[in-house]
Amino acid sequence: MSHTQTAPSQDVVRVTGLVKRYRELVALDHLDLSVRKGEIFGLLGPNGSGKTTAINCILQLLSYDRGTIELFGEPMAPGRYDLKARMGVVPQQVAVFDELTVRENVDSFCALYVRDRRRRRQLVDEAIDFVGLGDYARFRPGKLSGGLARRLNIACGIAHRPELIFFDEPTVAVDPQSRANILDGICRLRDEGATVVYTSHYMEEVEQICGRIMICDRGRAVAQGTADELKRMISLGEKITAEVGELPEGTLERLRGLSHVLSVELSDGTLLVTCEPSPHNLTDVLGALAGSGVSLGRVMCEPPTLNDVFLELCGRELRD
Amino acid sequence: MSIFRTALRVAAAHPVYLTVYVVFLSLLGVLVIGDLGTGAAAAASGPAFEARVAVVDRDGSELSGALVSWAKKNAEVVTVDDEPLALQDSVATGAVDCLVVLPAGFEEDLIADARAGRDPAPLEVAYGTDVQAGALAATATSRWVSLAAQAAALEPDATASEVAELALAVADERVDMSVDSTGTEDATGSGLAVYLRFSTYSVMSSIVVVAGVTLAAYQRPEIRRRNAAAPVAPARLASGELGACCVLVVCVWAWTCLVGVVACRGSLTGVDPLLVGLALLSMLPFALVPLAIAFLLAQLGLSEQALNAVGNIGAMVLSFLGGAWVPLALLPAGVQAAARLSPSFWASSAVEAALGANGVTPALLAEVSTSVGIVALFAVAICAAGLAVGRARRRVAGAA
Repeated sequence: MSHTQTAPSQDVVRVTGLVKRYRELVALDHLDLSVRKGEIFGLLGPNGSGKTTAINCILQLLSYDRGTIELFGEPMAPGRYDLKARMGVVPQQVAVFDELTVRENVDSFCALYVRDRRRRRQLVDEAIDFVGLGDYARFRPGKLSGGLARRLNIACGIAHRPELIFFDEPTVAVDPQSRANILDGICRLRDEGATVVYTSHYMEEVEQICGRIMICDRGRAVAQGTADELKRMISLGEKITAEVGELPEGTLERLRGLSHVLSVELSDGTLLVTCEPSPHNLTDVLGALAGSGVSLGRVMCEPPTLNDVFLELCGRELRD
Repeated sequence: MSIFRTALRVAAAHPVYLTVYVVFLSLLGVLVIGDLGTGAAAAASGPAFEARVAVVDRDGSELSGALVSWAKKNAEVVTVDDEPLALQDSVATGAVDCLVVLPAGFEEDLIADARAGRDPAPLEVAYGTDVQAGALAATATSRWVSLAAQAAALEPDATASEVAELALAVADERVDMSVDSTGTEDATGSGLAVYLRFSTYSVMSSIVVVAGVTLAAYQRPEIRRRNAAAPVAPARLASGELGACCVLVVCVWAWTCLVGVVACRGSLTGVDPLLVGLALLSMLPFALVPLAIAFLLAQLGLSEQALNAVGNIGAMVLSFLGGAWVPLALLPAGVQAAARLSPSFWASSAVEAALGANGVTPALLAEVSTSVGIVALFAVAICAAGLAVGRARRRVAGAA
C-alpha cells in the first residue's frame, strides 16, 4: 500500500460529537469514534443503530448537524478530494456496472483515483489477483456467482490502494468459503498497512479480524474496546453445559445458591448454568453436582461470546 | 478507463438496442418514403391501362354496335353468353373486369333523352374482382355514351349512324402532350422531408432508450455512492456521462442523415446542397431533446423496461405530433394546435422550410433558427426538470 505520512500518535479517523437528525429522528447522537492507523476497526450495531449513517457522514455522502470529522489528522469536507483519494469504499450491495467485464469494472472505478494509464493497469491486475478473479477477468458480473461478485465489489474498492478502507457488511449472503477468503483478504490489507473500518452483523467474524470494536445503538457508542475488553464489560462470565442423569431433589436449588451463578436451566437431560465472571465457576458447579450424586456425561464450559455482549448491550428486542 | 469511456462502454453494451432502434428504424424510414426518395415517382408512367370488358348488346342497333366496336379498340373485349349464370360467372371468376349491358331500346332512348335535354340513363354495369380496372373501364364507357348523347343533342337531324360516327370521332381525339425530362423531377426534396419527419420517431426512441440505459446505470444507488465517495467533482462525473451520451446523439444523427441522403439522392439532384445541409443540421438540436428526456427518466430511476416503454410510446406520440404518421393538415384543429407544443413539430417545420426554399436567404435562416431555437428550449426545459427531480430524489434518499 502506498501511504502518505500520518503522525504515529494521530488517529486515521477521529469523529467527535457527531449529530445527524432526520427531523425528529436522531440518527447519530453525539457519536465519538476513533480509528487507529493500521487496525481493523469493527463497527457493530443492530439495524438502524447508525452505522451506515456514520460511515456516510465520514465519507461526506451525507451532511450532518453537529460535530467534527478528521481524517488523517485533517478536517474532512465534501470538497477534500485529497483526503477522498486516500480512502476506499466497499459498499454493502455489489456496486458494479452489469454492462462491463470484471477488468473493465475494476479499471473504471480505479480511474476515478488514478489517472496514469500504465500505473492503473498494474493496479487493476494486482487487485484482480488479490481477490482471485484472474480467471474471470473477461466475465460480466451477471455470469459470476454471489461470492465472486462480492470479491469483484472488493476489488473495485481497493484497486487504487487506499490507506483507509470502509467495508460495509461485505460478507452478506456469501458462502463460508468465500467469506473466509474475503476475511483473509481484509487481514492481508491490514498487514500491508491499510486501516480498515469494518461493519458486519456476523459477530464471529468481527471477533476474528477486528482489533477494536465499537458497539453502537440508537446513534450512540454503547461500548468500545477489544473483544476481550467488551466481554469483561458484561455480567455474563461463563456458560457451563452438562449432560446429566436423574437430578436428585434440591440439586437445582443448590446450584442456584452458588455464588456467581446467574441462572440454572434443565432441558432434556442437559443442564445449562450461566455464571458471572469468576475463576472457580466450573469447579464450584461440578463440586455441587458431585455432592448431590449426579452422574455426568459431557461437560462444556464456554466463555462469553461477542454475540452475548451484543445482546446484553443492545437488548433482545427485534429491530427493523 | 475514464468516466467518458466507461459511459460509452455501457452504451455500447446494448447492441440490440442500437441495431433495432438506430439501424432498423432508420431503414424502415427508407421503406416509408418508397419511390419519393429516388425520384422515380415523378418519372414513372406506369403500365398502360387495359381492362377486360364484356358488352352485352341486347339492342342490336347501330349505336350499340358502334359502342362495341369502340370498346374492342380500347380494351380487351371478352365474349360472354347473355344468360344469367354465364353473366354471373364472368364477373365472379374475374374473367371480366367490367360487364356492360346495353338494354333493348338503348339507341332510341339515348337519342330521345338527349334531344329532350335529359341525361342519358345510367348504364347497367357489374365489376369483376379487379374493381379498380373495372371502374376505370366503366368510366370510359360512360364517357363514350355521354359523347354520343351530346352529339345527338347538338345535331338534331343526325341519324343514329351519324351520331355514332360523331361519338367515335370525338372519343378518339386526344390532346398532344409530351413529358420533357430535365432530370430535375421532384426537385423539392420532399422524399428527404418525409424521411426526416419519420426520423423524429427513430431518433427519439433510440436516444431515449440507449442514453437512458447508460445514464440510469450511473443512478444505481450503490454506484452513485461509490462515485460520490471518489475524489471526483460531481460536475466532472456528469460531464463524462453526458459527453458520452452526446457522442451517441451525434452518431445517431449522423447515421440518420447518411441513410436519408443516400436513400433520397435521386430526389435531391436539383436541390441546393446548402438547403439539404441546413435541413439535416436542424435535426441535430432535435436529437438533444431525447437526450434531455433520457436524463429526466434516469433521474426518476426508471428501469430498462420502463425506459423502452416510455421511449417507444413517447416517440410515437411526439412523431405523430410532428406529422410523421399522418400529415398534420389532415388532423383536427385541436391536434394541430397541440402539435405546436411538441418539439417534433418545430423540427419538422425547420426541415420543411429548408427543403421547400429556393435558396439560403436571411429570411429562411431566421425561420429555421426560430424553429430550431424552440426545439433547443424544449431540451433545456426538460433537462432542468431532470436536474430538479434528481436533486429532490437525492434529498429524499438522504432522509430515508
